[in-house]
Amino acid sequence: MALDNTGSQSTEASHTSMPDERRSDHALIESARGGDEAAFGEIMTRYRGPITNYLYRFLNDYEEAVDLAQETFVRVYFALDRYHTNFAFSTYIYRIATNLAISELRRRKRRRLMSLTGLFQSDDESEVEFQPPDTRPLPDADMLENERSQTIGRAIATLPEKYRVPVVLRDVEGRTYEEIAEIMQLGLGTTKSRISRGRALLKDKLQNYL
Amino acid sequence: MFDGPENFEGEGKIAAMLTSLKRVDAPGDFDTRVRARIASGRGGEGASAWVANLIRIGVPIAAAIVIALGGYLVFTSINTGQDDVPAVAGTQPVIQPPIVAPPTPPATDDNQAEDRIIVNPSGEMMADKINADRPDDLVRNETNKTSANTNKDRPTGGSTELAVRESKNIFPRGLNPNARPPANAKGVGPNTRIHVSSILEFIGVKATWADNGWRVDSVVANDIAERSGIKTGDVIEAINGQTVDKKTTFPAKFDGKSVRVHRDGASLTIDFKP
Repeated sequence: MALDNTGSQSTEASHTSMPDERRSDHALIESARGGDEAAFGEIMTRYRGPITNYLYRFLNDYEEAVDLAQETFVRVYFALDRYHTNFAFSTYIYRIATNLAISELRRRKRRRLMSLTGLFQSDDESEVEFQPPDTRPLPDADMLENERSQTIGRAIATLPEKYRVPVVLRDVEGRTYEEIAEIMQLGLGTTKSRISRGRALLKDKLQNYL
Repeated sequence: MFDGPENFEGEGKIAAMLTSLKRVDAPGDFDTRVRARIASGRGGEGASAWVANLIRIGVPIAAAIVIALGGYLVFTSINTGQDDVPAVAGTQPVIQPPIVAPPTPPATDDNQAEDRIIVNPSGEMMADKINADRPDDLVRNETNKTSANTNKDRPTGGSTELAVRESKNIFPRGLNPNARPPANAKGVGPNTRIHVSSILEFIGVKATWADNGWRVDSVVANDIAERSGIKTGDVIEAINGQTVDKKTTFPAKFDGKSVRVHRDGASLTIDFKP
């Protein structure tokens, strides 16, 4: 188990821009506990991108992903005193985000059950792929790529939670198996098995793109 | 991200496909919105969500418990009301509606039962099977008698039998106020016998043993002996035909029928008048 996540941040560096001055997550948390708002801001800068992307791929809903990502940081802020540094901070924040996302999924499921209209509403209509506005004419290649991306996103969204979490963490976020096992509080073997099983399920859904 | 041997064909391609997905980033005002939420002082939606969940789950559970408890109490009170004498006796007496005598039915064949409608004391109509060969006035009298007794004795609705029935409540051994003495209590049994003096005392005679029988010293007023005609000075020679001496005993289940006394130089048999 990693005591600090500074080393593993290299995987994130390819996705998000990191400041030059590198302080460990734990050092930033300690400063934030002392009332250093800038330190908490630095934490947000480091993790807002990965957490938003993770939640987006998990929920397939950008607005909801942003909302839950913000909620994740609010929870981290109010739980700063309860955070133990024997866990990697990345594990801690991903676990909070995962729990929020799972709660959101269950809430959606309940809402769908309660809503009469939900019975006649397909997932395609309720979960719209986020597309940033683009004024340029859309080339065919981009259109195809967007369609492919949407299809993969919908396929991920159909996975059961227990497969979706590790697959997204591993293949989208690039987290290590050990870290995913910590986040999901599972054994390493079970984690690897679930990732493989999740990929197999995706393969069945994405045959046309292989 | 795939970094090992494939568990199935195409696993690496699937992993690569997911890794190649375009990443999304947080919106520009992300930090501002988070700080606004923090500034608003709520521990995120966590607290409110927690309260909402508590209400959503807790309220139905509490309601179910209250309903179950209420049902149990009602059920218990109904059972107690039926079986427990004090509970019945403690209820308010109900004003009994008058008994409506049914019109005299036409004559029917022998042994053919006919239906009669009787208004019972609690006011509800009930059908009663009455044998047609019984005289109507007898039936009516019995009905009125029962109803009169019921009206007088019964404090509330329900049958008299229920009202006087022993409670079904289970008491600890030795504490049951309704407990009857056991049939085989110490000193009392099928072979127990009663001394003649106890028999005499029971019928209201105070007697002492004379040489030829029990001489009556006094007779209790208005008791069996006096009503039957036994007088002071009589000498009781036999009871129920059995000659008595100083130590004669009778079975505990004594059924007095007659007594033979010696009066004025002659023997006289007197039947008991209860």
